[in-house]
Amino acid sequence: MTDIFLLIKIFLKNGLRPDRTKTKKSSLIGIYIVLGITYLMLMSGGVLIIVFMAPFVQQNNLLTEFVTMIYLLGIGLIIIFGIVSLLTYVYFNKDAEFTASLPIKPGKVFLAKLVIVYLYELVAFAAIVIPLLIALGVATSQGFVYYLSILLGFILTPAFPLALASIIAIPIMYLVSFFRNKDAFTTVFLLILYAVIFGAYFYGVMSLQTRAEEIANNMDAILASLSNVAQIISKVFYPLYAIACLATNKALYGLSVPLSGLVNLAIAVFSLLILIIIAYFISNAVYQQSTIRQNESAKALSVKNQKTEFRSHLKALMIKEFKDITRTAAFGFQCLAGVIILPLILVLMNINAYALQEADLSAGLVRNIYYGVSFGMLLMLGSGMNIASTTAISREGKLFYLSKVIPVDYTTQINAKVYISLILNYITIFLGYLISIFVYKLGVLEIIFFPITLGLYSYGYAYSTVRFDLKEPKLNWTTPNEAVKNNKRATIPTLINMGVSFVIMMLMSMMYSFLGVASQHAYLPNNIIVLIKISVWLLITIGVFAFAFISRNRLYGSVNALYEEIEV
Amino acid sequence: MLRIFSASKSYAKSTFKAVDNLTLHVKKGVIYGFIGPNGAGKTTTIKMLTGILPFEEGNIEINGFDIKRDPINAKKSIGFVPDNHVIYEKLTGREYINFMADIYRVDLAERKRRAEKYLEMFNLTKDVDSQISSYSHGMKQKICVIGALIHNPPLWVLDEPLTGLDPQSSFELKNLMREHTKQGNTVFFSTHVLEVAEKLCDRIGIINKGKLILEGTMDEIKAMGGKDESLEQIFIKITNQQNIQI
Repeated sequence: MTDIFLLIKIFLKNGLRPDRTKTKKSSLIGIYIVLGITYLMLMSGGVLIIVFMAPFVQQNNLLTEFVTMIYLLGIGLIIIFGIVSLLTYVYFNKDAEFTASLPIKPGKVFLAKLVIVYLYELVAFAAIVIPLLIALGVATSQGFVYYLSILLGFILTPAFPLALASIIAIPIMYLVSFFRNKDAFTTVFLLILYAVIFGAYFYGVMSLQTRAEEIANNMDAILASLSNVAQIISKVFYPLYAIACLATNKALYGLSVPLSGLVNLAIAVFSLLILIIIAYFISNAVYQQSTIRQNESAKALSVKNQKTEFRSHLKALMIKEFKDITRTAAFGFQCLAGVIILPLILVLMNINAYALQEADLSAGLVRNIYYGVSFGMLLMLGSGMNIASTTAISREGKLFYLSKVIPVDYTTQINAKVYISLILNYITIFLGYLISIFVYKLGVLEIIFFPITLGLYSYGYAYSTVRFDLKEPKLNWTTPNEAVKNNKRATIPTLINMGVSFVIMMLMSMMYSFLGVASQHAYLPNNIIVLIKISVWLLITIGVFAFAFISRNRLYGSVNALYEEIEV
Repeated sequence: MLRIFSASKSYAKSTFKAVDNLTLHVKKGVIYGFIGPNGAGKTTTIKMLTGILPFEEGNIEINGFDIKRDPINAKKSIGFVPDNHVIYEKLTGREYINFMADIYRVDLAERKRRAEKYLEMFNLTKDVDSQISSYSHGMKQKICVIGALIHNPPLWVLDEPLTGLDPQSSFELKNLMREHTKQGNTVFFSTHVLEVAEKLCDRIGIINKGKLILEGTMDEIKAMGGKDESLEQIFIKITNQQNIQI
């Protein structure tokens, strides 16, 4: 055990400690303030939704199912991002050679790394799930047991997705071992995996949802349907449901509340233990194999299909950027996931939109709201999911010195990074835009203004985030994941983008619903409504154009000086 | 101290043997220089004997412990200085040394005594509480050496240890190797600096294309390769001959 604790201590110190040689205290405080504000902004939205839904949940006796759903939300996020953490931290870590030379069993190294990933996920889980659970507890006047169970859920629940992620990682690592370019294969595999996960989720929701025609004009049927869905999902994820039953004092199996609570606790702990044991024993063997393969991979270089024709500096650098991204699993996934996830989310959202629309709650209102929602989602995920620009310089790591050595001007170098990022953003946005046109039946104005505004915003986002990273890149990292997740230069723009997109999404949804109601009840003539819409879209276009213009000029105006300032 | 019996290693998907039927015995108290051209199999051999890479054929004994069957005890007998320095760069030098001392179970008094001695020797005392990321290439190499020696290993293995060291530190390191062997320990290192190998090593092994092509004391090698020739001349002659034959 001593070795495991020693390793955990060292991994934590190395992973969490800021680079004292680079970071200024004042800039750290500023960054924490920005992070805090963005977090509060996002969480307040979530808390508001919870508070808004609490009476409905209580009236329909769905509290246990709702608690399960909140845990499930945290678990979903951990599974999505946990696999990447797990793969990059445990399997693709550059310390594999060093740890292999130490007199410590590989199983202990594996366990220590697993604990580190668990601790990171614990923090993420706490930040997302606990405020929501507390809000629900306050809104539904829960007692002491409820809050105590949150602590239990906090400790137990993040271990479920981590154990599942470990199991999912097993076939990935097994298949990866057959390929020379392991990271590129892992990137592709992860993208396919996410398409499958989201696809399955999409299919599941579709099959669970009561057909729209059956619930038309029938609020009770909608509620029954939602309740049915929640109950089925809760039963599928039974260990979580057990924790939720414990929290809400729900008696099961014909037992008294305390006895039922004990049984539920036992179910949660027991199922968790089984998952961990399965994951540990199989993953440990896979870890040892992958470590060996990784230590060998340096020798397994292929020189086949090497092209030797002359390329321009920009083209050569763009190819290098693209290969850097796709051949590092952590970068590849974070840059390309949006291409798959955004279209899927848009399709998924449309199912709910369609069901509610068909229910004819307020003719056309839902469709109008979803114009705003889809625009906000495209804004948020079209650029923000892709970390190609936010880690443009940090990605170089210790090889950054090459940027200063090669006989290529800094503007060309930065262009290669911006263009690659824009290409990936535009592919994502274009797919999302196409889906929005067909599934949300966008109007003429939206068909015209969506691509203009999204394209300009993405342009500005790419230039401004590359500049932000260029100002103080994180070049000193051991695992690629550190350059993404533990890099404030990457996380702050992502969070700000989320916050800004969220606000725009809300404003646009409000505007569209207001204009929808106005049109429906003839409060305003249609000409005026169209004029308002055009004016708003033009205002947005001017705003994002200014953002793009300023971002571009600021980057080009400072690129040389900023490059020169970076010490390697 | 170090016994390699017919060890062979092929990398995945390659029919070429990076190390081919290597047999080598290095006794206690010896400085052994392992030389060879780029890609000859030096680093692969070192990775095999330190337990980093598995190998298909043969076996390797460190201080009587088989690296395959008893890897933990075998590794406890080794102090390893890789060619790519410390990777936990957010630690301070002191934290890294303490970590290595903890892993190898060195008691507090002994680790303090050894750390102070080596830190002073390498002129690192004033920087030991700074993060390793702020160190120069040579300083990183030195902190790695101290980490490897903190448990006074019976077998000290170094991969290209002189790369990046200033003349003073290079001199100190060579002295340290001699001092280590005087205590009855063994030093096994790979190098490209043939003059150093010639002057410093008790025995030298020349490896090319995974095979040990010449092995012995400097005098024995000269007798085999050409009496009036330097190690550099012998090395070039022998490796060229072998390349032509292959």
